[in-house]
Amino acid sequence: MNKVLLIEDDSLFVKMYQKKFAHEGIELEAAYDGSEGVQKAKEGKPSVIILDLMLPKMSGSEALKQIREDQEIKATPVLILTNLNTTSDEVNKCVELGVKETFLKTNVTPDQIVEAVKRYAQ
Amino acid sequence: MAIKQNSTQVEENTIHTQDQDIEELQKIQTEGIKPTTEAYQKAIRELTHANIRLRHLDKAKDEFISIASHELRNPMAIIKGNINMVLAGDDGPVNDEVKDVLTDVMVAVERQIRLVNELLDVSRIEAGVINFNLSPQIHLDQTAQLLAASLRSVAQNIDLKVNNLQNPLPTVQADHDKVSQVLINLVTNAMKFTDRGSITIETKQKGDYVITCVIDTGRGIPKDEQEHLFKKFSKVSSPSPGTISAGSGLGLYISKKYIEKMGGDIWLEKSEPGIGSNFCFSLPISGSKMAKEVAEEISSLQPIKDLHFKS
Repeated sequence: MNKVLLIEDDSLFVKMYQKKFAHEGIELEAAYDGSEGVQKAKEGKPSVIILDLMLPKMSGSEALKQIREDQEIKATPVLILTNLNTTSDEVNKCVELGVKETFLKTNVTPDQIVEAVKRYAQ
Repeated sequence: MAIKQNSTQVEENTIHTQDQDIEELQKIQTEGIKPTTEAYQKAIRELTHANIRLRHLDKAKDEFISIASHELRNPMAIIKGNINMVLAGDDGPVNDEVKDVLTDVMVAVERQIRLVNELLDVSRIEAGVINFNLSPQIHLDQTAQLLAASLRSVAQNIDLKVNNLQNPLPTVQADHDKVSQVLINLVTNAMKFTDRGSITIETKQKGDYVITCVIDTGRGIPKDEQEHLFKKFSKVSSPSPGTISAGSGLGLYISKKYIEKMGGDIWLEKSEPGIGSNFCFSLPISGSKMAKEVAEEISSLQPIKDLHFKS
Protein backbone atom coordinates (compact mmCIF):
# COMPACT_ATOMS: atom_id res chain seq x y z
CA MET A 1 0.00 0.00 0.00
CA ASN A 2 1.21 3.49 -0.86
CA LYS A 3 0.45 6.26 1.61
CA VAL A 4 -3.03 7.43 2.60
CA LEU A 5 -4.10 11.07 2.20
CA LEU A 6 -6.34 12.64 4.86
CA ILE A 7 -7.96 15.95 3.82
CA GLU A 8 -9.16 17.49 7.10
CA ASP A 9 -8.84 20.95 8.63
CA ASP A 10 -8.98 20.10 12.35
CA SER A 11 -5.41 19.52 13.53
CA LEU A 12 -6.48 17.47 16.58
CA PHE A 13 -8.42 15.18 14.31
CA VAL A 14 -5.42 14.85 12.00
CA LYS A 15 -3.12 14.12 14.94
CA MET A 16 -5.39 11.34 16.17
CA TYR A 17 -5.44 9.65 12.76
CA GLN A 18 -1.73 10.09 12.25
CA LYS A 19 -1.15 8.24 15.49
CA LYS A 20 -3.55 5.45 14.57
CA PHE A 21 -2.09 4.92 11.09
CA ALA A 22 1.50 5.06 12.42
CA HIS A 23 0.50 2.35 14.89
CA GLU A 24 -0.69 0.26 11.94
CA GLY A 25 2.50 0.95 9.98
CA ILE A 26 0.72 2.95 7.27
CA GLU A 27 1.99 6.37 6.19
CA LEU A 28 -0.66 9.09 6.48
CA GLU A 29 -0.20 12.44 4.80
CA ALA A 30 -2.43 15.34 5.82
CA ALA A 31 -3.85 18.26 3.84
CA TYR A 32 -5.65 21.02 5.73
CA ASP A 33 -7.91 22.45 3.03
CA GLY A 34 -9.55 21.40 -0.23
CA SER A 35 -7.03 22.87 -2.66
CA GLU A 36 -4.04 21.57 -0.72
CA GLY A 37 -5.78 18.20 -0.75
CA VAL A 38 -6.14 18.15 -4.54
CA GLN A 39 -2.51 19.23 -4.95
CA LYS A 40 -1.18 16.56 -2.57
CA ALA A 41 -3.35 13.92 -4.25
CA LYS A 42 -1.79 14.81 -7.63
CA GLU A 43 1.77 14.84 -6.27
CA GLY A 44 1.63 11.89 -3.88
CA LYS A 45 -0.78 9.53 -5.71
CA PRO A 46 -2.11 8.01 -2.47
CA SER A 47 -3.66 4.54 -2.35
CA VAL A 48 -6.76 5.88 -0.61
CA ILE A 49 -8.08 9.38 0.14
CA ILE A 50 -10.05 10.15 3.30
CA LEU A 51 -12.03 13.33 2.71
CA ASP A 52 -13.78 15.68 5.13
CA LEU A 53 -16.43 17.86 3.46
CA MET A 54 -16.60 21.18 5.29
CA LEU A 55 -13.18 22.55 4.43
CA PRO A 56 -11.64 25.99 4.06
CA LYS A 57 -10.90 27.38 0.59
CA MET A 58 -12.58 24.59 -1.36
CA SER A 59 -15.46 22.32 -0.33
CA GLY A 60 -15.00 18.56 -0.20
CA SER A 61 -17.26 17.97 -3.20
CA GLU A 62 -15.32 20.49 -5.30
CA ALA A 63 -12.03 18.83 -4.30
CA LEU A 64 -13.48 15.44 -5.23
CA LYS A 65 -14.67 16.81 -8.59
CA GLN A 66 -11.12 18.00 -9.39
CA ILE A 67 -9.68 14.64 -8.33
CA ARG A 68 -12.13 12.82 -10.61
CA GLU A 69 -11.17 15.13 -13.52
CA ASP A 70 -7.45 14.33 -13.27
CA GLN A 71 -6.49 11.42 -15.55
CA GLU A 72 -3.75 10.12 -13.26
CA ILE A 73 -5.62 10.01 -9.96
CA LYS A 74 -9.27 9.84 -10.98
CA ALA A 75 -9.64 6.18 -9.97
CA THR A 76 -8.34 6.67 -6.41
CA PRO A 77 -10.74 5.15 -3.84
CA VAL A 78 -12.25 7.93 -1.70
CA LEU A 79 -13.84 7.58 1.74
CA ILE A 80 -15.97 10.41 3.08
CA LEU A 81 -15.54 11.17 6.78
CA THR A 82 -17.95 13.94 7.70
CA ASN A 83 -20.19 15.54 10.30
CA LEU A 84 -22.85 16.40 7.73
CA ASN A 85 -25.99 14.31 7.56
CA THR A 86 -25.99 11.65 4.86
CA THR A 87 -28.99 13.34 3.22
CA SER A 88 -27.22 16.69 2.79
CA ASP A 89 -26.62 18.09 -0.70
CA GLU A 90 -22.87 18.06 -0.19
CA VAL A 91 -22.84 14.32 0.59
CA ASN A 92 -25.20 13.60 -2.34
CA LYS A 93 -22.89 15.47 -4.73
CA CYS A 94 -19.94 13.36 -3.59
CA VAL A 95 -21.91 10.11 -3.92
CA GLU A 96 -22.70 11.09 -7.53
CA LEU A 97 -19.00 11.69 -8.17
CA GLY A 98 -18.21 8.23 -6.80
CA VAL A 99 -17.13 7.39 -3.25
CA LYS A 100 -16.53 3.99 -1.68
CA GLU A 101 -18.23 4.69 1.63
CA THR A 102 -19.52 7.60 3.71
CA PHE A 103 -18.80 7.61 7.45
CA LEU A 104 -20.17 9.95 10.08
CA LYS A 105 -17.28 11.08 12.27
CA THR A 106 -19.15 10.51 15.52
CA ASN A 107 -20.28 7.03 14.47
CA VAL A 108 -16.89 5.49 13.73
CA THR A 109 -13.68 4.84 15.60
CA PRO A 110 -10.21 5.17 14.01
CA ASP A 111 -9.75 1.38 13.82
CA GLN A 112 -12.89 1.11 11.67
CA ILE A 113 -11.44 3.68 9.27
CA VAL A 114 -8.14 1.78 9.14
CA GLU A 115 -10.10 -1.39 8.29
CA ALA A 116 -11.96 0.42 5.51
CA VAL A 117 -8.72 1.85 4.10
CA LYS A 118 -7.19 -1.65 4.01
CA ARG A 119 -10.30 -2.94 2.24
CA TYR A 120 -10.08 -0.41 -0.59
CA ALA A 121 -6.32 0.05 -0.98
CA GLN A 122 -5.07 -1.50 -4.21
CA MET B 1 -11.17 29.38 11.95
CA ALA B 2 -13.55 27.09 10.10
CA ILE B 3 -16.57 28.96 11.50
CA LYS B 4 -15.25 32.27 10.34
CA GLN B 5 -14.53 30.93 6.90
CA ASN B 6 -18.00 29.49 6.58
CA SER B 7 -19.86 32.51 7.88
CA THR B 8 -18.06 34.69 5.37
CA GLN B 9 -19.23 32.32 2.70
CA VAL B 10 -22.81 32.58 3.90
CA GLU B 11 -22.61 36.37 3.70
CA GLU B 12 -21.14 36.20 0.24
CA ASN B 13 -23.95 33.92 -0.79
CA THR B 14 -26.52 36.37 0.47
CA ILE B 15 -25.04 39.18 -1.59
CA HIS B 16 -24.65 36.91 -4.53
CA THR B 17 -28.26 35.76 -4.28
CA GLN B 18 -29.73 39.25 -4.29
CA ASP B 19 -28.57 39.63 -7.86
CA GLN B 20 -30.01 36.23 -8.56
CA ASP B 21 -33.38 37.33 -7.12
CA ILE B 22 -33.61 40.13 -9.61
CA GLU B 23 -32.55 37.92 -12.48
CA GLU B 24 -35.01 35.25 -11.48
CA LEU B 25 -37.77 37.81 -11.14
CA GLN B 26 -37.05 39.32 -14.56
CA LYS B 27 -37.11 35.85 -16.04
CA ILE B 28 -40.48 35.09 -14.48
CA GLN B 29 -41.82 38.44 -15.68
CA THR B 30 -40.67 38.03 -19.27
CA GLU B 31 -41.36 34.32 -19.71
CA GLY B 32 -44.26 33.79 -17.35
CA ILE B 33 -47.98 34.28 -17.79
CA LYS B 34 -49.16 37.68 -19.00
CA PRO B 35 -51.22 39.31 -16.26
CA THR B 36 -54.37 41.12 -17.36
CA THR B 37 -54.23 44.08 -15.00
CA GLU B 38 -51.51 46.13 -13.41
CA ALA B 39 -52.59 45.23 -9.86
CA TYR B 40 -52.48 41.56 -10.69
CA GLN B 41 -49.00 41.97 -12.12
CA LYS B 42 -47.88 43.78 -9.00
CA ALA B 43 -49.29 41.05 -6.74
CA ILE B 44 -47.44 38.37 -8.69
CA ARG B 45 -44.24 40.36 -8.49
CA GLU B 46 -44.57 40.75 -4.73
CA LEU B 47 -45.40 37.11 -4.15
CA THR B 48 -42.52 35.99 -6.32
CA HIS B 49 -40.19 38.21 -4.37
CA ALA B 50 -41.51 36.95 -1.02
CA ASN B 51 -41.20 33.36 -2.18
CA ILE B 52 -37.62 33.78 -3.32
CA ARG B 53 -36.69 35.52 -0.07
CA LEU B 54 -38.27 32.75 2.03
CA ARG B 55 -36.36 30.11 0.12
CA HIS B 56 -33.12 31.94 0.72
CA LEU B 57 -33.98 32.23 4.40
CA ASP B 58 -34.45 28.44 4.51
CA LYS B 59 -31.08 28.09 2.84
CA ALA B 60 -29.44 30.30 5.47
CA LYS B 61 -31.05 28.33 8.31
CA ASP B 62 -29.91 25.08 6.72
CA GLU B 63 -26.37 26.37 6.42
CA PHE B 64 -26.36 27.51 10.03
CA ILE B 65 -27.42 24.04 11.20
CA SER B 66 -24.78 22.40 8.99
CA ILE B 67 -22.04 24.55 10.46
CA ALA B 68 -23.34 23.98 13.99
CA SER B 69 -23.40 20.20 13.40
CA HIS B 70 -19.84 20.25 12.22
CA GLU B 71 -18.52 22.32 15.09
CA LEU B 72 -20.42 20.35 17.74
CA ARG B 73 -19.60 16.92 16.40
CA ASN B 74 -15.90 17.30 15.64
CA PRO B 75 -14.74 17.58 19.29
CA MET B 76 -16.93 14.64 20.29
CA ALA B 77 -15.47 12.53 17.47
CA ILE B 78 -11.97 13.41 18.69
CA ILE B 79 -12.77 12.49 22.31
CA LYS B 80 -14.42 9.23 21.26
CA GLY B 81 -11.60 8.27 18.87
CA ASN B 82 -8.80 8.97 21.32
CA ILE B 83 -10.45 7.11 24.20
CA ASN B 84 -11.09 4.20 21.89
CA MET B 85 -7.39 4.10 20.96
CA VAL B 86 -6.24 4.26 24.59
CA LEU B 87 -8.73 1.52 25.58
CA ALA B 88 -7.49 -0.63 22.69
CA GLY B 89 -4.01 -0.43 24.20
CA ASP B 90 -2.44 1.60 21.35
CA ASP B 91 -0.46 3.62 23.92
CA GLY B 92 0.46 0.62 26.06
CA PRO B 93 -1.28 -1.47 28.71
CA VAL B 94 -4.17 0.15 30.60
CA ASN B 95 -4.90 -0.91 34.18
CA ASP B 96 -8.41 -1.83 35.27
CA GLU B 97 -9.09 1.37 37.20
CA VAL B 98 -8.17 3.60 34.26
CA LYS B 99 -10.14 1.32 31.96
CA ASP B 100 -13.17 1.70 34.24
CA VAL B 101 -12.92 5.50 34.22
CA LEU B 102 -12.42 5.69 30.47
CA THR B 103 -15.36 3.37 29.85
CA ASP B 104 -17.57 5.78 31.84
CA VAL B 105 -16.25 8.69 29.78
CA MET B 106 -16.99 6.73 26.62
CA VAL B 107 -20.59 6.04 27.71
CA ALA B 108 -21.03 9.75 28.51
CA VAL B 109 -19.62 10.80 25.12
CA GLU B 110 -21.91 8.37 23.31
CA ARG B 111 -24.85 9.83 25.23
CA GLN B 112 -23.74 13.34 24.31
CA ILE B 113 -23.41 12.40 20.65
CA ARG B 114 -26.93 10.99 20.67
CA LEU B 115 -28.29 14.10 22.35
CA VAL B 116 -26.58 16.47 19.92
CA ASN B 117 -27.83 14.39 16.99
CA GLU B 118 -31.37 14.58 18.32
CA LEU B 119 -31.18 18.32 19.01
CA LEU B 120 -29.91 18.89 15.48
CA ASP B 121 -32.75 16.77 14.10
CA VAL B 122 -35.22 18.90 16.06
CA SER B 123 -33.61 22.12 14.75
CA ARG B 124 -33.92 20.84 11.20
CA ILE B 125 -37.55 19.85 11.75
CA GLU B 126 -38.42 23.23 13.23
CA ALA B 127 -36.52 25.18 10.61
CA GLY B 128 -38.33 23.11 7.96
CA VAL B 129 -35.08 22.14 6.27
CA ILE B 130 -34.99 18.33 6.49
CA ASN B 131 -33.97 16.49 3.34
CA PHE B 132 -35.71 13.23 2.53
CA ASN B 133 -34.13 10.71 0.16
CA LEU B 134 -37.32 8.85 -0.72
CA SER B 135 -36.99 5.35 -2.13
CA PRO B 136 -39.89 3.19 -3.37
CA GLN B 137 -37.98 0.02 -2.48
CA ILE B 138 -38.13 -0.12 1.31
CA HIS B 139 -38.75 -3.66 2.57
CA LEU B 140 -39.81 -3.09 6.16
CA ASP B 141 -39.59 -6.80 7.05
CA GLN B 142 -35.94 -6.86 5.93
CA THR B 143 -35.17 -3.58 7.70
CA ALA B 144 -36.66 -5.10 10.88
CA GLN B 145 -34.63 -8.33 10.49
CA LEU B 146 -31.35 -6.42 10.06
CA LEU B 147 -32.08 -4.21 13.03
CA ALA B 148 -33.06 -7.12 15.27
CA ALA B 149 -29.86 -8.96 14.31
CA SER B 150 -27.72 -5.95 15.20
CA LEU B 151 -29.48 -5.30 18.54
CA ARG B 152 -29.66 -8.91 19.78
CA SER B 153 -26.23 -8.77 21.39
CA VAL B 154 -27.27 -5.83 23.61
CA ALA B 155 -30.78 -7.12 24.32
CA GLN B 156 -29.78 -9.45 27.14
CA ASN B 157 -32.47 -11.68 28.66
CA ILE B 158 -34.96 -10.49 26.04
CA ASP B 159 -36.20 -12.49 23.09
CA LEU B 160 -36.01 -9.98 20.21
CA LYS B 161 -37.89 -11.29 17.19
CA VAL B 162 -39.51 -10.26 13.92
CA ASN B 163 -42.93 -11.50 12.86
CA ASN B 164 -44.07 -10.70 9.31
CA LEU B 165 -47.83 -11.37 9.03
CA GLN B 166 -48.01 -10.89 5.26
CA ASN B 167 -45.74 -12.66 2.80
CA PRO B 168 -44.64 -11.11 0.51
CA LEU B 169 -44.96 -7.76 2.23
CA PRO B 170 -45.42 -4.85 -0.24
CA THR B 171 -42.59 -2.30 -0.35
CA VAL B 172 -43.19 1.17 1.04
CA GLN B 173 -41.96 4.57 -0.09
CA ALA B 174 -39.73 6.13 2.56
CA ASP B 175 -36.30 7.48 3.44
CA HIS B 176 -34.33 4.42 4.50
CA ASP B 177 -32.15 6.10 7.14
CA LYS B 178 -35.11 7.85 8.74
CA VAL B 179 -37.25 4.70 8.91
CA SER B 180 -34.32 2.87 10.51
CA GLN B 181 -33.95 5.70 13.00
CA VAL B 182 -37.64 5.47 13.95
CA LEU B 183 -37.50 1.70 14.32
CA ILE B 184 -34.28 1.83 16.37
CA ASN B 185 -35.91 4.44 18.59
CA LEU B 186 -39.00 2.28 19.22
CA VAL B 187 -36.99 -0.89 19.86
CA THR B 188 -34.40 0.74 22.16
CA ASN B 189 -37.26 2.44 24.07
CA ALA B 190 -38.87 -0.97 24.51
CA MET B 191 -35.54 -2.40 25.67
CA LYS B 192 -35.22 0.27 28.37
CA PHE B 193 -38.55 -0.72 29.90
CA THR B 194 -38.42 -4.49 29.39
CA ASP B 195 -36.40 -6.60 31.83
CA ARG B 196 -37.57 -10.01 30.66
CA GLY B 197 -39.85 -11.61 28.12
CA SER B 198 -39.89 -10.50 24.51
CA ILE B 199 -39.88 -7.61 22.04
CA THR B 200 -41.57 -8.40 18.75
CA ILE B 201 -41.41 -6.29 15.59
CA GLU B 202 -44.56 -7.12 13.67
CA THR B 203 -45.17 -6.11 10.05
CA LYS B 204 -48.45 -6.34 8.13
CA GLN B 205 -50.41 -4.70 5.32
CA LYS B 206 -53.54 -2.64 5.91
CA GLY B 207 -55.08 -1.11 2.80
CA ASP B 208 -52.56 1.21 1.15
CA TYR B 209 -50.22 1.07 4.14
CA VAL B 210 -47.74 -1.22 5.81
CA ILE B 211 -48.08 -1.17 9.58
CA THR B 212 -45.04 -1.89 11.73
CA CYS B 213 -45.56 -2.52 15.45
CA VAL B 214 -43.09 -2.93 18.29
CA ILE B 215 -44.69 -5.03 20.99
CA ASP B 216 -42.96 -5.53 24.32
CA THR B 217 -43.70 -7.37 27.57
CA GLY B 218 -42.25 -4.55 29.67
CA ARG B 219 -43.75 -2.60 32.51
CA GLY B 220 -46.08 -0.44 30.41
CA ILE B 221 -46.87 3.27 30.57
CA PRO B 222 -49.24 4.74 33.16
CA LYS B 223 -52.47 6.14 31.63
CA ASP B 224 -51.79 9.76 32.64
CA GLU B 225 -48.42 9.75 30.89
CA GLN B 226 -49.65 8.28 27.64
CA GLU B 227 -51.01 11.45 26.05
CA HIS B 228 -47.72 13.36 26.33
CA LEU B 229 -45.52 10.67 24.76
CA PHE B 230 -44.99 12.33 21.38
CA LYS B 231 -44.34 15.80 22.77
CA LYS B 232 -40.89 17.33 22.95
CA PHE B 233 -38.82 16.40 26.03
CA SER B 234 -41.49 14.01 27.25
CA LYS B 235 -40.06 11.27 29.44
CA VAL B 236 -41.80 8.36 31.02
CA SER B 237 -41.16 8.24 34.77
CA SER B 238 -38.50 5.84 35.89
CA PRO B 239 -39.20 2.97 38.31
CA SER B 240 -35.95 3.32 40.23
CA PRO B 241 -34.22 6.71 40.27
CA GLY B 242 -31.34 7.16 37.85
CA THR B 243 -31.91 4.11 35.70
CA ILE B 244 -33.64 5.59 32.66
CA SER B 245 -32.09 9.04 32.69
CA ALA B 246 -30.15 8.48 29.47
CA GLY B 247 -32.96 9.45 27.10
CA SER B 248 -33.49 13.02 25.94
CA GLY B 249 -37.24 12.76 25.51
CA LEU B 250 -36.87 13.77 21.88
CA GLY B 251 -36.90 10.38 20.16
CA LEU B 252 -40.67 9.93 19.80
CA TYR B 253 -41.16 13.59 18.83
CA ILE B 254 -38.62 13.25 16.01
CA SER B 255 -40.09 9.89 14.96
CA LYS B 256 -43.57 11.39 14.74
CA LYS B 257 -42.39 14.30 12.57
CA TYR B 258 -40.46 11.99 10.23
CA ILE B 259 -43.27 9.48 9.82
CA GLU B 260 -45.86 12.20 9.21
CA LYS B 261 -43.67 13.86 6.55
CA MET B 262 -43.41 10.50 4.79
CA GLY B 263 -47.22 10.19 4.69
CA GLY B 264 -47.74 7.86 7.62
CA ASP B 265 -48.77 8.00 11.24
CA ILE B 266 -47.31 6.79 14.54
CA TRP B 267 -49.27 5.96 17.66
CA LEU B 268 -49.43 4.04 20.90
CA GLU B 269 -51.75 1.15 20.09
CA LYS B 270 -51.98 -0.14 23.64
CA SER B 271 -50.09 -0.03 26.90
CA GLU B 272 -50.97 -1.66 30.18
CA PRO B 273 -48.91 -1.36 33.34
CA GLY B 274 -47.29 -4.70 34.11
CA ILE B 275 -48.21 -6.24 30.75
CA GLY B 276 -46.40 -4.20 28.11
CA SER B 277 -46.66 -1.61 25.35
CA ASN B 278 -47.42 -1.72 21.64
CA PHE B 279 -46.25 1.18 19.46
CA CYS B 280 -47.14 1.21 15.75
CA PHE B 281 -46.38 3.31 12.68
CA SER B 282 -47.72 3.23 9.14
CA LEU B 283 -46.05 4.08 5.84
CA PRO B 284 -47.66 4.31 2.39
CA ILE B 285 -47.13 1.41 -0.03
CA SER B 286 -45.04 2.40 -3.08
CA GLY B 287 -47.15 3.68 -5.95
CA SER B 288 -50.21 4.35 -3.75
CA LYS B 289 -52.07 7.65 -3.98
CA MET B 290 -50.58 8.86 -0.69
CA ALA B 291 -47.06 7.85 -1.77
CA LYS B 292 -47.40 9.94 -4.94
CA GLU B 293 -48.73 12.95 -3.02
CA VAL B 294 -45.85 12.73 -0.53
CA ALA B 295 -43.24 12.45 -3.29
CA GLU B 296 -44.68 15.56 -4.94
CA GLU B 297 -44.91 17.48 -1.67
CA ILE B 298 -41.35 16.63 -0.64
CA SER B 299 -39.81 17.48 -4.00
CA SER B 300 -41.53 20.89 -3.92
CA LEU B 301 -40.33 21.58 -0.37
CA GLN B 302 -36.67 20.67 -0.76
CA PRO B 303 -34.52 23.71 -0.10
CA ILE B 304 -33.05 25.23 -3.26
CA LYS B 305 -29.77 23.65 -4.16
CA ASP B 306 -26.35 24.61 -5.46
CA LEU B 307 -25.69 27.68 -3.36
CA HIS B 308 -23.42 25.74 -1.01
CA PHE B 309 -19.83 26.80 -0.52
CA LYS B 310 -19.41 28.95 -3.61
CA SER B 311 -15.92 30.36 -3.61
